[in-house]
Amino acid sequence: MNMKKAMQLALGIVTGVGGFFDIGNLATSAQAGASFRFQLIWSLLLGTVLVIFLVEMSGRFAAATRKALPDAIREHFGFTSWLVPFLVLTLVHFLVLGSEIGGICFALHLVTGLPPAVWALPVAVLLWLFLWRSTFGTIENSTSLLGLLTLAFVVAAVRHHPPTGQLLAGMLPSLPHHDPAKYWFIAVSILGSVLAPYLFYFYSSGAVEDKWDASYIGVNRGIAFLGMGFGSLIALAAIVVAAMVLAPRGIEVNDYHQAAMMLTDAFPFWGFVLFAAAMAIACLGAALEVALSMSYTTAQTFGWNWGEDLDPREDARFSLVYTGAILLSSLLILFGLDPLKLTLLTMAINAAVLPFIAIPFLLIMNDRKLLKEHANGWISNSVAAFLLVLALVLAVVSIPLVIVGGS
Amino acid sequence: MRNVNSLQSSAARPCGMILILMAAGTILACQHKSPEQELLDKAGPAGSWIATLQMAGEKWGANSVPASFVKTTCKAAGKDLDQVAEEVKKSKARPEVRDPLRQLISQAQAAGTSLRKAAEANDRPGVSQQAGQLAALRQQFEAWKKSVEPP
Repeated sequence: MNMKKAMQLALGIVTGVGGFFDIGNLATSAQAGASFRFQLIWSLLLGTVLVIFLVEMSGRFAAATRKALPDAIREHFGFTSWLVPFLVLTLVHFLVLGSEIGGICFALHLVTGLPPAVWALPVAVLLWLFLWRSTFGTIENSTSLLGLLTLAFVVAAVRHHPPTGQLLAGMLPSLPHHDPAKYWFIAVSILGSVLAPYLFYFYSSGAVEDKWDASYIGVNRGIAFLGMGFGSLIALAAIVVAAMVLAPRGIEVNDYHQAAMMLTDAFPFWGFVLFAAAMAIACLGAALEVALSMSYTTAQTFGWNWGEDLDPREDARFSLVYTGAILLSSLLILFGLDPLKLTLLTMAINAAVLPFIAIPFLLIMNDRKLLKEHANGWISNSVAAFLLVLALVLAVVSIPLVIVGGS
Repeated sequence: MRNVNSLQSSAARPCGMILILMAAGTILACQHKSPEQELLDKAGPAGSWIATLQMAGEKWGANSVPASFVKTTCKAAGKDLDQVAEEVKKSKARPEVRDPLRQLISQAQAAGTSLRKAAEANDRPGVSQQAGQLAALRQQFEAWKKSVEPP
């Protein structure tokens, strides 16, 4: 491996670690730890294994074909067949973007005491300016490096000395001792937050932006396994911290205020500020990714010019999509929607729509004409088959669980 | 292409809706509870908020959170406690189960308001006193929960 690829691998892993954790992971991990201690770790582990495979596949696809997924799926299945997954993906992008903006606004509310709605438009302008003025590399690297602040959760988890036996027991699925509807609702929401549909579509577009070719397939594998693996460690740490700090006090997370003191036992002076900063930065990175992902998907669906590295004048429609998306999503918070409730609903919807998004992707990964020797092998296809069954189950149960298990 | 089209066929949509409705029905059927158990579920957020207010007071006393956070947390707690109080009022649970909870929530609402005022006034002994009051309320809440929970 040459120096350039080694750098890409290192940077990719940092991106994976810093970019993995977002508002969905934070909300669902805090809820899981506070309400069920270590009992839902299995859900996070299951989601992590599946997302590693999905991200590896999407990067392999982009490296082997030099095409982003929506572009190829539209060409392969035709515009009409791609239309339903595209519309579903657009709805998910819109809701996730609203949740991430809500997370940034709430973090600012924690520090300033001003209501989150006050911050909606300033945050929207900041996000837009960032996207308008920056290149893909700047966005990817700066937010990922700042995102390493979320490692504060890992340090806090270690400082709390969680009981190893209970941690290991949580890695195996088990039935809840109380509140089964809430248990399964959180389990589904964790899967929805880890298997965020935008993630693998965004990753393939990013690989095209970074001009990957077949020689990057090994780098891609390393990034997918190490980046996503270490990234999920932060979500695991958030479950542990919530289990050690909130659960013994009888605090359940039905509002972000209840999660905000999570780090203050491990870091008495800085814990509160660290939580707010980690929340803001994780959400900022994710919001930029989601807004870009929405532009990528739309531009690739309609065959427009696209690329964050292009001047906005060269891909005006691409730039217009993220401009509109940021403005519309920020209205959800401006009009007073509760950021946590929006996030949890969005994570359940993420899980519910997974089949629509994953099926065309998994079908195209088996196209040997397009991918040649890089098409899915039996291991990837076995995981894909399992994912499809799981996705269909999630599609059926997630919305009813929101009704009975969501607070 | 055939696979994708078949998923989007008109026949698949009612089938999917039926499955979702069946899942919802099954989950709801499994949720059938007595009025006392329903009250126990609805009271859950109240216990959690009492514990949150206590922690916010203690952390403010230890200089771990700012006064503005205590203020906004008290406001958020007040809103949710009002909601729980309304639910309790409408509950069909036996009065000997329901009334102690009503009293507890009303005391928690008062303690939350006093905590907010004490933090705003930078009154450390006042905040400490309210945190102690909330700790006592939390213990009472746990005792109430135990008395209602099925053995």
